[in-house]
Amino acid sequence: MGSDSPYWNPKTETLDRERLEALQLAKLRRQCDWAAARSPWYKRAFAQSGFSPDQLRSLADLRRIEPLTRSDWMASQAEHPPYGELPTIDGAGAIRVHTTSGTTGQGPLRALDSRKDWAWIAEMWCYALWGCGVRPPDTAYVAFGYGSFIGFWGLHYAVEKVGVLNVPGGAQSTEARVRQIVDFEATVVASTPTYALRLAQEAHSLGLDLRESAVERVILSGEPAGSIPVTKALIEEQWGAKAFDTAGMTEIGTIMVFECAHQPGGTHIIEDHFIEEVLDPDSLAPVGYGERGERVVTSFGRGAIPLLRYRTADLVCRVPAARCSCGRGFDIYEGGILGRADDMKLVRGTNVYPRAIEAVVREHLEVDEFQTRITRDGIRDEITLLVELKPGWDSSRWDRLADDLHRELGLAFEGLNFRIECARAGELPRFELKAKRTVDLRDVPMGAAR
Amino acid sequence: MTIEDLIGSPLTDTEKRLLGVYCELKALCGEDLDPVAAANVRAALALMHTAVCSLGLVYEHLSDLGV
Repeated sequence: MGSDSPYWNPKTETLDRERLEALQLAKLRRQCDWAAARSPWYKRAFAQSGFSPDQLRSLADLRRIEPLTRSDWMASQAEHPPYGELPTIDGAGAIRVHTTSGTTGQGPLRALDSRKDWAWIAEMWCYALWGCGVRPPDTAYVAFGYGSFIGFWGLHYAVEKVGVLNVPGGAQSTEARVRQIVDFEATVVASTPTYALRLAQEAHSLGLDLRESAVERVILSGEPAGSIPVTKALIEEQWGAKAFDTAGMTEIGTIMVFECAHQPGGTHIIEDHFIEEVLDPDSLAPVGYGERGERVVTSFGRGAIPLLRYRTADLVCRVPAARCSCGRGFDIYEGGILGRADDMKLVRGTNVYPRAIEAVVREHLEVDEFQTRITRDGIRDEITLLVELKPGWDSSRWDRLADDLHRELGLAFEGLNFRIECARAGELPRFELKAKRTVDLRDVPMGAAR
Repeated sequence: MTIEDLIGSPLTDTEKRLLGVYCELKALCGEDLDPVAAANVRAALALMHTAVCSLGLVYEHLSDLGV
């Protein structure tokens, strides 16, 4: 196909299922051999479970390997600081260490990478950038803090690898970032969904209309919201640009899914570099196409930290590649990452997912920011939605808005009675990375946390 | 040199050339080079590895070469 290919890697992106799985099996055998030989963790885990890489005769044999959990990794780090026993190399053999953002409250994981691993991390982002149409002579603005959280570091290198002009937006105020996006005539912007909305809000307050800017594509990552249709539509409306979802995690170092230019309502799995299983989170039995389950990932990329059957807690619904007209053989997560099993809150017997709340709230364009607070009054749980209105919005219409939100959230959550309260302008927190809009105060002494 | 990729397809002429460059860089990495050459050969090898691995020509890790 050559340089005008719509695919970054035409050879593997268009493989049929049989050949794609043959490639995965070939890589899996080698990765398991490597892990067994070099990782103290896997050497012991394989011996304890009686698994040997030569038992891998088909992809189904992958299930002979015990899943790895974040708790396993954390415990190993605690017992063998600072990196635990998963890595195949020590700090001297690596060129970089990153940490998780620590949003689950367990402290950060530390992930070592070699030079080769970093080349691969950027490569996964190239699949996404190329797949959604980013090309020279685009100019990309990376609205990211460039800290120890891995975030958009991989995208930063991928932008340069693809040959696109890179404007790193680290250590900037939101106002300065908006001005740079306009001044540099950026055609591509990378940010979290929450921060894309924050940038648009800031532009509005500066009297700038991003719809008149050069931006054509917004690359989203870091939160499930990039595939919530109403949030995505809001971002596209405020930027006058197409929004493309991706998702990744520090534990694998990069992204594993991306939304292609055909936008099939979900994200393609980069299946030549990952095996993604979707399992029932309780029984760990595989679920079929179209059923919701937990992502369990096996990565072929990292050599420093082989990741075999890692339980991600991400909830997904996998559908066949044919759902998209782009011609890729890579299956799709319909609706992207649907939420996290550990984000789910049980309130009066009802499962409450932050993503589902956002899907309701974002339907109301007058909402500027919001927060869900869960409290306990005696033995009774209460759930309250605090809403901050857009500046200039007619507050006499608050009662109508509150009634609408109360009714719609009740319909979405089995009749659960949400209290709806109006927050003062600027009262609720804003976010640059992963938004945390659900605050569970049930096990926290009053006044100890917000 | 390998004549098939990981799923048994014959290599194209371009793939053979890419694999040749990769193997040459690996060989250079095993030599005692001046810092200027050693560091840049390792950087080049990391990128060439990504190409041949993504094309399914080889699958291996390069820690033993410092890459």
